[in-house]
Amino acid sequence: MPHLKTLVERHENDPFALIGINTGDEPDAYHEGVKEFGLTWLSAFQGQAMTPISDLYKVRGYPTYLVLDTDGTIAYRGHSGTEIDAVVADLLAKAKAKDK
Amino acid sequence: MRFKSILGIALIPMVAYAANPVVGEAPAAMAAAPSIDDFTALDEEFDTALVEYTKELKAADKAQRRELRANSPIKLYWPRFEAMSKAGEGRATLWLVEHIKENRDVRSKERGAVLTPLFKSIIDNHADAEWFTSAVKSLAANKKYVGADETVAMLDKAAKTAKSDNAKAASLFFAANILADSDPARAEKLMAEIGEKYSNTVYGTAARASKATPEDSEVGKVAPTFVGETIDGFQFSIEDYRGKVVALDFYGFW
Repeated sequence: MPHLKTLVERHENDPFALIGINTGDEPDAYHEGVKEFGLTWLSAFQGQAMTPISDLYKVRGYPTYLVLDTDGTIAYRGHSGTEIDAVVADLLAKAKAKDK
Repeated sequence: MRFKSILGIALIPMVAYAANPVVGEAPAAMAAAPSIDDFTALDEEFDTALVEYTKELKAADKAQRRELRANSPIKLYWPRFEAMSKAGEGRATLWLVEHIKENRDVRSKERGAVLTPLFKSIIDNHADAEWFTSAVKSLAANKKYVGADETVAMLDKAAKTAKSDNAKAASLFFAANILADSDPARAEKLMAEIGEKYSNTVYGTAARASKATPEDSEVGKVAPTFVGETIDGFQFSIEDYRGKVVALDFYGFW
């Protein structure tokens, strides 16, 4: 989580968004977690009864990360929080180059 | 529930109530219809009493606990919510169905008989309320007490009377879940209807999820579109993020 916070802060002024998809927490535990880790970004809350987004993406292990390009194409899927740094930076650089 | 976090919780019921006058109630009940703030005030009072009660219960010994339980907030406040519900305040009816499990005076055998008319009243009179999806969820969760057939019948009706796409989709989705084993053909039809008409809701996402394969979300594919809901009920679509690089983090605090 501290790592993700750094990632969000680094790209504060870039066309980048981190979206959390919470699975399996009780509402109370969720609220506590948000406070403890200082979660500032958008996060879906699926709860325990229904996990439609995890089901749609066939997520088996946690955490799972996906990085999507500006057109929605999946560029990365895996479990490493540090690996996504380079992928995000690379995609943002490409998007910037395209804009010019 | 959309934008609840932005507008604030107090505003929504006000709109829902104004747009939803008590229809078909006895004139006496009309006259006694509670004012908009009454429910919120009573609900806050109950919450405060509950916090106090929980504290006292923790500190009490065995004999004191028995005494405390005999006068628990749920017992004391139940008749007040019940009266408000009878006067046409739908949120009080929702409160009753959402708290029935904590009310030890209603035995689990009797739950169905108490719940069924309450749900019927909500579906008949409050289908346009902002909180109607919560009632639908609660109905589905009480299938065991209301009975599967009766639940499906009520969900069918809710799907028709509901005003919001989210509530309509929820009704169809839970009906499909119940019918999955007993009538798979109909269940599949309902799921398809959700996918087609209500793809803009979390239930549209859930309906599509039942057909998804791992290949749909591997590297190189376009990410399956989904609608997510925050804990405050704010809904967002991944499609709103096209044009941005997006990192999705599937996580839990557990």
